[in-house]
Amino acid sequence: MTMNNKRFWLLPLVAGVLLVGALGYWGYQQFTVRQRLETALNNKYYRALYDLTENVQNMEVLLSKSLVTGTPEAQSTLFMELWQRAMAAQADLNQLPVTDALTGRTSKFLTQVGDYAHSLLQQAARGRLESDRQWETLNRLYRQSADLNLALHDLEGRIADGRLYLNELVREGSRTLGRQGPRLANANFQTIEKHMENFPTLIYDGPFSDHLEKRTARGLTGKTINRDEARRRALELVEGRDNYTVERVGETRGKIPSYLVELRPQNGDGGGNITVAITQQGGHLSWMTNGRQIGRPAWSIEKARQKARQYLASLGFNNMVAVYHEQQNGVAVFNFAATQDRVILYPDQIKVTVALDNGQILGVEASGYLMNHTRRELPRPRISPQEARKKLNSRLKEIKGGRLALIPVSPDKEKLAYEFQARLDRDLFLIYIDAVDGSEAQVLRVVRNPEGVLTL
Amino acid sequence: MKLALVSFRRSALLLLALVVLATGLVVTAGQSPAQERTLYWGLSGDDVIRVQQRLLDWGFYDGPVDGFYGSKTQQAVVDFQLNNGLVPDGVVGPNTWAALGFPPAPATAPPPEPPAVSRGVTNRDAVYLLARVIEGEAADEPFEGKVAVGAVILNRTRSAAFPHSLAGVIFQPHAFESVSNGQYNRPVSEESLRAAMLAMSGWDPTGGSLYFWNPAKPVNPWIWTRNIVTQIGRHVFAR
Repeated sequence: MTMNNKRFWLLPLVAGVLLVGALGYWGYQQFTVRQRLETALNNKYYRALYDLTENVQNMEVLLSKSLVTGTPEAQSTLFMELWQRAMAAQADLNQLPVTDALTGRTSKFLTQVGDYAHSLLQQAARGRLESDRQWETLNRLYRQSADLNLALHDLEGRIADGRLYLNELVREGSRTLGRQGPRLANANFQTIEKHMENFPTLIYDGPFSDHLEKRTARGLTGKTINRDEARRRALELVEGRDNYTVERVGETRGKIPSYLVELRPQNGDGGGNITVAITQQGGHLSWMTNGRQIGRPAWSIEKARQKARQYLASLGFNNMVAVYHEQQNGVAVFNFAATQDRVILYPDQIKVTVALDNGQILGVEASGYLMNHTRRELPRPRISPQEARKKLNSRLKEIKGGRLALIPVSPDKEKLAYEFQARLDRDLFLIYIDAVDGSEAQVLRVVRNPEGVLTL
Repeated sequence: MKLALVSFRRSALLLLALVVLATGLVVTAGQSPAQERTLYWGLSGDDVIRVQQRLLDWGFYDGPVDGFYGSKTQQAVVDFQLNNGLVPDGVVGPNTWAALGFPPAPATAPPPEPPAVSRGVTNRDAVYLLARVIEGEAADEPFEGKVAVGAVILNRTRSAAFPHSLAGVIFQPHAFESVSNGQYNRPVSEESLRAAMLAMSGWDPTGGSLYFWNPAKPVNPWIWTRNIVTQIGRHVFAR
């Protein structure tokens, strides 16, 4: 009896001790795994910070050197390295666990230094560097990068002697743009960012130049319309307009201020909601989307292209040329470019999506057209198509084409060029020869896969 | 892929140029090759679509017909192989192709030479990556709200203040909640894929916005200082 009693409390005790032990062991395992993961993650962040510091330091040195070099060759080498360093620094900065609200301006500075160096590099390649203005700008960028370098070294120093931890950012910052967020290192970035905000704007010939943000739409003509007119206009543009009712008319500011007209199908079956954006100035169609389910494809690409062309014609776009298409998930997207005096204007594009199940026009995207389209003062070609053809690389085979096209060479610059297609082995290329000075303006590689044709 | 991303980096200029092509070049593609290639996990393409469609028709597969050979497709292939006395290795080789009703073409058929080969250059994986984030961020939003989220991500690649590649923008720490918490790993709907394709083709319902947020959720007060462009569905968009 006594023996039995003893065993009775001994068993749970042993089980309990084992359980506690197992739990403890498991917990410790979890703890070490977590520690290791956190260290690994932190190390990545430290690497990004140290790389950033090194790249910014190199930028400072390169900028100062660019102020004292004399020959275009030496300058080209410096600009090349500066471009790479700045882009690498920008990539490093964006890997730090700091919200973009605190790195945006710094990131922009790094981008613009790189972009500016790149545009100078291209100018140097063409043998056209305007020295005085450029020297002033480089000098200013040098002083700014020196400030940034100093701030980063300060940050690095405090991390090195343990006054600052990057992992604070990992733990607390993980709530996205969350509440007050982390204190320590973030505050430092905030200081840097505040300082950068006082930097003046930088205007030059490159895609990230400040003046491009203020571009206005050239294709907007006509007087301002009101909501009711927008509502009527939207219904005119939609196929089977009698089946739709206007649910809501909203507004959008942005590059092209527009009314957003939301249409709902009356019978509710077979079609999704359609949203049409009508520009406030002139009542032009800016874009349209329809998210309905797509059934089994029954239309050929050719038939769908004809449909898209007819639709554009019904809107009054008669001189558009189909230039490109893409298909995916039962939907085809056709790109049309405007023409002027038989010259293709590639910047002025309208895209039309057609459902391949029943040929319905699902969407339109005309903002590229509205941003760019205007009557151009086209230069007279100085060289003939035959002369342009002779400029092509002699290794190219099966050369075709030779029509005139206006192509975008930077966001606000266009060039008149002859368009040729040619082949090297099995790769297909489009090559554009400047019709005025005969230089090679652009080379595009054509990639064809089941989804369509891609040019890079 | 790398090429496609480089073109993003090199700004709006190349994006505009991306779509420059002559009418004469455009022909209907998508002919089946003489010999089917062997398919396995991780591949993508038109042939994967055909396998997925067939498996879906025959009741082995219930995922999206998206042309991506993911784990779901693999499981469906294994099930099909077990049902048809094949080695259940999850790989679509010649035997499995034949069992699926796609017999190899006779050897006499001349191999058609494609006019321009892709050699693996495609923007398809970029579209898919974009679609995953759209699904994670805007699964319950209307279609144009999905396109809008895709457009914001692409606008960021063209902004000086953000990374200049698609992956750089998407995986920037704390940039997108669904990427931070892994929700973007959910299966992608067809609607999100289509929205991603439209955003890549230039649709931008946001008028060049760089930020979006749901005003019903707690957000950093800083964000309200941005220039608000519009509201689509439950998201506010701002420049």
